[in-house]
Amino acid sequence: MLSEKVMKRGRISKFDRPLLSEPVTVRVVFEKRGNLQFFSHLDLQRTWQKVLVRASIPMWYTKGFNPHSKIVFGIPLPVGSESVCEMVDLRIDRLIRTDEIKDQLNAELTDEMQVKEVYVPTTKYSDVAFAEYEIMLGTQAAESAEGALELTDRINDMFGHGAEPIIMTKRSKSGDKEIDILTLVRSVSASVADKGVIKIRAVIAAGSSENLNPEYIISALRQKLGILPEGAPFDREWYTVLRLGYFKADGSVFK
Amino acid sequence: MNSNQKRMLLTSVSKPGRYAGGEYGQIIKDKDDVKARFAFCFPDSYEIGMSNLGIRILYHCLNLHPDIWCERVYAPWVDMQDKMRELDIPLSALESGDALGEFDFVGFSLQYEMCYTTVLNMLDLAKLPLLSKDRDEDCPLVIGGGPCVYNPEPVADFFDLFNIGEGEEMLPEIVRLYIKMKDEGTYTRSAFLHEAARTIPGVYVPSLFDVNYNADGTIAAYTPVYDDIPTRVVKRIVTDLDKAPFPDKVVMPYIETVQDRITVETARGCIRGCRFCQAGIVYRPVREKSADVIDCQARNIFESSGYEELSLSSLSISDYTDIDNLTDKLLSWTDRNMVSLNLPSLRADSFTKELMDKVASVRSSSLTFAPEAGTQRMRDVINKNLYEDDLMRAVNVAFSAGKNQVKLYFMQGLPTETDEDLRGIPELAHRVVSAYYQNPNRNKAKPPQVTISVSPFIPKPFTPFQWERQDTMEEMRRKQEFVGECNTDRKVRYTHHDPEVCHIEGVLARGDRRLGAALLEACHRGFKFDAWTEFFDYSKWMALFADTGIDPAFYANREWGLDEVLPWDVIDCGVSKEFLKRERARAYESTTTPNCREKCSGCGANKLGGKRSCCPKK
Repeated sequence: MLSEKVMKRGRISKFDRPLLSEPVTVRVVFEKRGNLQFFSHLDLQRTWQKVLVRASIPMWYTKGFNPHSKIVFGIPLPVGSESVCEMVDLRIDRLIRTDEIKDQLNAELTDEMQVKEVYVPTTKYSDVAFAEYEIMLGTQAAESAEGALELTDRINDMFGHGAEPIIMTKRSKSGDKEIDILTLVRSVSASVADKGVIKIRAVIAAGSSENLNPEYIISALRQKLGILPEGAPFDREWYTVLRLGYFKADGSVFK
Repeated sequence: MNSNQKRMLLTSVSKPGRYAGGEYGQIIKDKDDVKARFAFCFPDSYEIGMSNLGIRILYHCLNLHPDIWCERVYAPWVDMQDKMRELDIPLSALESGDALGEFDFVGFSLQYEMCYTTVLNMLDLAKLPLLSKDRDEDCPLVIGGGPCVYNPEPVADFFDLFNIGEGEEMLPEIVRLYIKMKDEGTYTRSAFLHEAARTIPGVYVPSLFDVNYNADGTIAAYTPVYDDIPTRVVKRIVTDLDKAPFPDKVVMPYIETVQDRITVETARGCIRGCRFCQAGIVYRPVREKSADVIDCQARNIFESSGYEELSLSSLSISDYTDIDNLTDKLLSWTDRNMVSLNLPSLRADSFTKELMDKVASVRSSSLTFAPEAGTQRMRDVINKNLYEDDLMRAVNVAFSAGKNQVKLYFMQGLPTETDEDLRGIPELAHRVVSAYYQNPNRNKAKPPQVTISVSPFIPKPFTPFQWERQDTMEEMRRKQEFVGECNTDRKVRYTHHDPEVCHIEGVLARGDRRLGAALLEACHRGFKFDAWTEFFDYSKWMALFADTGIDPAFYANREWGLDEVLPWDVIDCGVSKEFLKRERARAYESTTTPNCREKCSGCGANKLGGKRSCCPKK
């Protein structure tokens, strides 16, 4: 009965795959775009538990009283940010090719959360030191060509060499702390993208030891440049955030 | 609203996932390819609405038609409502993001009386006129269905049409008639409503009935305005549950919802006929789905959803005739797929060790039963047909298996109740505690914990107790305290319901059309989410009734006359009034009535037909 069903869905049942002698960890890289930006890290974890079941991925289950699969997500993405580089490590216990994992998952995911790559990882999430974000900023201040150029210059100066410290209150579990966010910024560069739209590339601290939410970059711009004022109409003053990738402490690309 | 604006709006409110849409399994159609658009509204939060099985089924039924597009709408939380009003954004559907005003139909699922204010709140957010008579040809048709429509009169002024009964067939028929009349060019609002009332069984158009009242405030008569429409609307049922459409794929919420699992019905209706229970009457005749179909449906949803929890749903799961075969079938694939099986609504008299070993819901340390009353006399009055021995046997099965927590549900304020009956509640709980200590196989490391939860009785339409008076606030409070005082066992934990909500629910449950004026004013005063304790304000309700000339006691605390015209007499749920009167008389004699399988009591519901039912053929 199961095999019949499975044939209809065009894939092999996980139970028909040979067991591995040892469970293996694979890394899945996926996008989180569009409407998916509004779901939290916790929502994502719950969702993947079900995605893996319906995709018939041969997950290894813990052997205890309450068996559960082992999945470990990478650096949490703040709500309101999109990403092309979310990561989840899966522990599987049966033979399956990485391209099969990708295809089976993509058949069970919406267009806004497609798997881009599946591979056996050689790194640990703790190797991540920085993440790169693309921030698109729509503001009336950039409506004119001169205004847009002036704004990009001011943003580049704010984060460039010899810039003034940007002191902000950073919230953490251990309480609020005043910090200079420049110490958590590797680079920020702005350019004109379109009429009224500025594009910012930001490489900022990410990971378990030091982490900067890209929202702090926006808050800094709001504070220093007076753009995106609170209560401004959403069609005139807006921004989007997209995570592009990660770097290790030595500046090499994290994969 | 473009995607950038949507991002800015959604990141400014709590839990933006409620409003994002984009879930796996949602149905997207091209609006240029469809002839009718249906906005299915649930008058509560996303988390509650997304858990509703009825909406999952009807969303599927409507979307099976290529020229109908059904979308989902939930009540935005208050912070979002403030933003929407501030920015002048009307309420919209999740799939397309289009405002409700652009739809052909706006349908509401009326699950509980306390949601009425949220219904009006949502119409208001959608910028639609609240009153049916104020909506013109360009406005969507506002229709309603669900358990509350067995007495829809309090909200009759706001709805163009109600679906009385089960919607799998009726709802698409209504939309098809609309499409047909539009295609033929014969559609006007009034022509459509008349035609629907005339030709589609189960359709109730409140504006097509005039209501007259007597000098004492009771109803004189319901008169249809056309002579070619039925004078009473007969409830619609799906005859064969095996053939009723059931989704093979569901919309998967990303955020956590109240019941995030596979739910499959095993049967509709209940053989028991407890005299306070509306569901036990209005869903008659009892019809079962066959085990093979249930198994197949559960498995399809498992494979398309990945849910690792399966819940079988019915009014009394252990009354399912083929339960052993069904659970065996299910366990053949659930166990190895790590899917846990839940059986809610277990009756104590059919709770066995065999059943317990099979299901995960009872693998937890807690078990719940509903004796409903503390003494045998009272249980006979309400026709619970449960004996203390049954309960003791059930709890001993649980205790022997190492469980130490039992939760027991009761009611207070039932007809003929005395303080002795109330005292019986904690006394029964005490005997359950004693049974724990006397059970040699109990888990000796853990103390027993018995929780008694006592709710005030609310008389509901279409029950043998529909004529009864509800306790006043003072009586409800006194009884709650009395039960607390009688509870001297420290192993028994006592909880009770808020009598204030029960009082308002009692008014709305048996309300008539005159309550419409109060609900309209409630909307103007900003009432919403009254099912939530943080928003419910009893003093505001009392002020509302006083200001709109409504006497709540007329509806809740009066003993209604057996010959009185009832607001819900315009509806025929299949069960006859004579049966309800007979049952009421038997209640006063403390005489029980056998369940439908033991002996047919002639309730009348068999006239509606039904496959795999235990009724004698008409």
